[in-house]
Amino acid sequence: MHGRLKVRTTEEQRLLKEKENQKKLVAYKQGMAFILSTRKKDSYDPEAFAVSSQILHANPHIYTLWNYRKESILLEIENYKDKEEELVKFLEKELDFTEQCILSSPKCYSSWYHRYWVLKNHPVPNWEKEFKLCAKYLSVDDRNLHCWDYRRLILNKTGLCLEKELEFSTERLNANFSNYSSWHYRSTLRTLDVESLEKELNLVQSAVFTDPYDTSAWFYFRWILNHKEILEEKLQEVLESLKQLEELEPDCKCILMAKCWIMDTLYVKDEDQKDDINEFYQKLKQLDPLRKTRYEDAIKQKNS
Amino acid sequence: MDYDLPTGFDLIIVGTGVVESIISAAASRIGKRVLQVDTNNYYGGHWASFNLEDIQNLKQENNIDLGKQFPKNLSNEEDFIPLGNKLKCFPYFETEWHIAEEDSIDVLKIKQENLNGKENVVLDEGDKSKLDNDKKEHDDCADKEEDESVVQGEIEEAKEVEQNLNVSTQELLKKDYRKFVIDLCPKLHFARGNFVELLISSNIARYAEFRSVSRVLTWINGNIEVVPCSRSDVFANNKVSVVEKRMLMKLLTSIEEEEKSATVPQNTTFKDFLKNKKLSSNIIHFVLYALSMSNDETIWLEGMKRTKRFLGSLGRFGKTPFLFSMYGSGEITQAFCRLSAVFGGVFALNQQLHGIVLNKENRFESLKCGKQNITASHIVMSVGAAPVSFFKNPTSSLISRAVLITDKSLMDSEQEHMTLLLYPAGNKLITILELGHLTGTCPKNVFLIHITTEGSSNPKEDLEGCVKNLFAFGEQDSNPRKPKVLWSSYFSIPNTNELDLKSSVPSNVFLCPGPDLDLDYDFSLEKAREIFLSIYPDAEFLPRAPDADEIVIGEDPETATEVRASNSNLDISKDTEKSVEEERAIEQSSETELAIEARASCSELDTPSETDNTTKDALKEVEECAEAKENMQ
Repeated sequence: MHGRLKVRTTEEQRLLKEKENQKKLVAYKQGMAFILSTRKKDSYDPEAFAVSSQILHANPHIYTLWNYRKESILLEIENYKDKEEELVKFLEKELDFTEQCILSSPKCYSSWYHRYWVLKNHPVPNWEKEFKLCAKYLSVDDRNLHCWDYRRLILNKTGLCLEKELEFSTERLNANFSNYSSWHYRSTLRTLDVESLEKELNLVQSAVFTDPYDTSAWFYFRWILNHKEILEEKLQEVLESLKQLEELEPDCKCILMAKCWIMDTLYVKDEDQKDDINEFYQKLKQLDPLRKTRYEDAIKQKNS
Repeated sequence: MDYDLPTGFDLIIVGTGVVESIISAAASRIGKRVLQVDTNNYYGGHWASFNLEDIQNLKQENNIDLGKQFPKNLSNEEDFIPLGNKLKCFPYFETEWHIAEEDSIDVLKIKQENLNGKENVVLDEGDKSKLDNDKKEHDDCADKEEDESVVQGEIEEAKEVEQNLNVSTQELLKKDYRKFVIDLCPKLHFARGNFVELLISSNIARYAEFRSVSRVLTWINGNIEVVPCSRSDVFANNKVSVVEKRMLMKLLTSIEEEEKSATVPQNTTFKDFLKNKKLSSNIIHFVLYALSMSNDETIWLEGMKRTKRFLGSLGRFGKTPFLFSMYGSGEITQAFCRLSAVFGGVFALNQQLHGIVLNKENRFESLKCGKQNITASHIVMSVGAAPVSFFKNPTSSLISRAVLITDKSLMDSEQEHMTLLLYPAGNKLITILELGHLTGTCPKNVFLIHITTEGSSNPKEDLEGCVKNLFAFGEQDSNPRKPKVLWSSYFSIPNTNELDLKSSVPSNVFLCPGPDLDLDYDFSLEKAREIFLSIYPDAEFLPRAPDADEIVIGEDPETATEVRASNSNLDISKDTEKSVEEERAIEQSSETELAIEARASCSELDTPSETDNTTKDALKEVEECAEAKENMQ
């Protein structure tokens, strides 16, 4: 029969893949040998530089090659000393290249750092573009710590625009608030006052009401509750709203924990409340038997 | 006709609607010889897509007498039954412009004076191209003014003038007529619905591109509000209290258990069911009209089923449960036709179909197409093509449709959205789709609105209240927040899904219903599967089609890559419209070619064959990289 489709079997596919890998390995070894053979203190070989691009694009984790590139770039910077325009052109190309590498593996320390290093050596760095880059990468993977780190690095260079960063952080939280990085980033931005505390409390309450079983928001909640500017009346108010939440979700340990935090601060010496707190810890022991001794320890400390 | 079609098919399919095309693909896929014909010169029938010019011509075509399209008797010798019935027509069809044909010179002059302030430009009144150029310059001028940010007042003035400039004219829109893709019957796909699952399992998804609907809105207490449907929506919504947030989340996450544990009488409405749960009126509205797309009379079990359908599709692609096919829903029909053609299906549009010949046992024998008599063992036809005698009662209910072109979004925001708006109107639910230029269905700066509801008599009357509340026509409505309608079309399509399409039909003839009111293609898909399995009871329905690189021609695995290459050429020639992405990919690959040249120059390192192979690897990586970039955008 003619024109019939023959579909490749998985065993065939496996062998093919293996063959491909072997070829890749040979290419990698030869490329590396070539680059290292041309490595000199006072000059570099543009061909070897191009080959290093190809290898890094396939595997950006080889820091030897990134260092090789840094050496070459420093030579070029010296070379273009009086020709800023051409230097900018060269460095922009390098930036584009790092972006490609970051694209192919977004969680590689070396390529993120190399990008920062190039910008540091750039005569007219466009930091604005870097903010956009971060936003783009975080919208793909909002827990990419490399990207959060990179944003803080850039902020060190440009100085903080509080309003913009708050908005950015809110945007990230709106996209997904189960994200320790977003909450933590928010906590590093400013020192809170009475007014901003109120806002943050509303935000974090919105999160714990939406999903009381998500621990990331509770971490931020606890951080807010421990703030020295927070007023006693405010704590009372939060306690009331947590009681409401507890009615809707009686079996959620995080709510009980939060109530304990607040009551511990509010009623340090109040004997009447002591029984209540004890009762909460007893319930926590049932809800969360894995941390039973921890709660027992808390009860002991309360009563001593 | 100066060519002949082959004859002696396993299956003839008359019509290129969704149900017909799915059957066509499925039959070709299992190796049946399939002929698919259509009297129209376009694909899709009542499911088709048109550009702005063609849809206006459709109006006239629709008035053509049926007798002309299907001549009653071509030859007296044959005893055949003529094809076609009134279900093929649109019972109502109109299109209307709501803006001036072109900018009058006076208007332009005023605008330009506003822009330039004291500066005066003399205009050659007859020279339109000059006018256009001037306009562009003025736009730039306005930008500059903004940049310099002289005085706040002046900036605002400049912005106002700019807005005025956006007032399109017929002339401007007509110039872009090819950028419009207007679906007669636009559909969304539930991300985990049967249809999407089929697209994936059959590997047909590769023939189309999709975009996720980015927000779901509803009309509540005279306002448009965002429906919080996912966890992040609930968190970000500032219109509901924290306690409401918890109640809504609880309902969304526990609906499965709710259904099992609920003890309510069978005939309780979904609305009463929700009320009994002591939910606030906002939450009831969101769940009843938006999430479950029910009305006040929907019974609770049905409401629960629909809510689950919505929730079950969340979190797979994008923020809402829905996907929309780029460049319009017409692409979907064509994707199935394409698969059918790849597996040997023969397609012929613009055919003169006179009738079918039945034998003594009242079984279909052949189709009279032009001067030919084409035989097949089975025939499948769209309901509008079927002979009148195949129906007991060929009257159907109607789907009321409106298509509007507007100048701005229903709800402004910084990013462009693709929006689904659910508008409860009495006992009906009106669904509204707003498409921006990112969907590939309209040019920049305008929006395409599709309105669909259950029809009663006249689509214009059916939709009047809703359209008036949401949109402004001309200068009558002074509310500046409402989008202004630039062009409108109202039509109705027969809803043939309730008709009896079996009892008066010969046993080897199958009728396919047309569009329905459901948001997705689920119903059409079920019909297609049912008909396919009636014809081929033991066959598999649309098994996975192999990818090009899995196909081995001859025995040498290396040649497979050649197949891939020739296939991708085919893609480019077929999708001229979509070539932007491909161009980008080609651009990218030329970049690698440069790198490869550099590599080849150190050829002492590589044997020639290996260079070849790394070339392929590099190309593949670039392809992947381009793909990743695409996804990010």
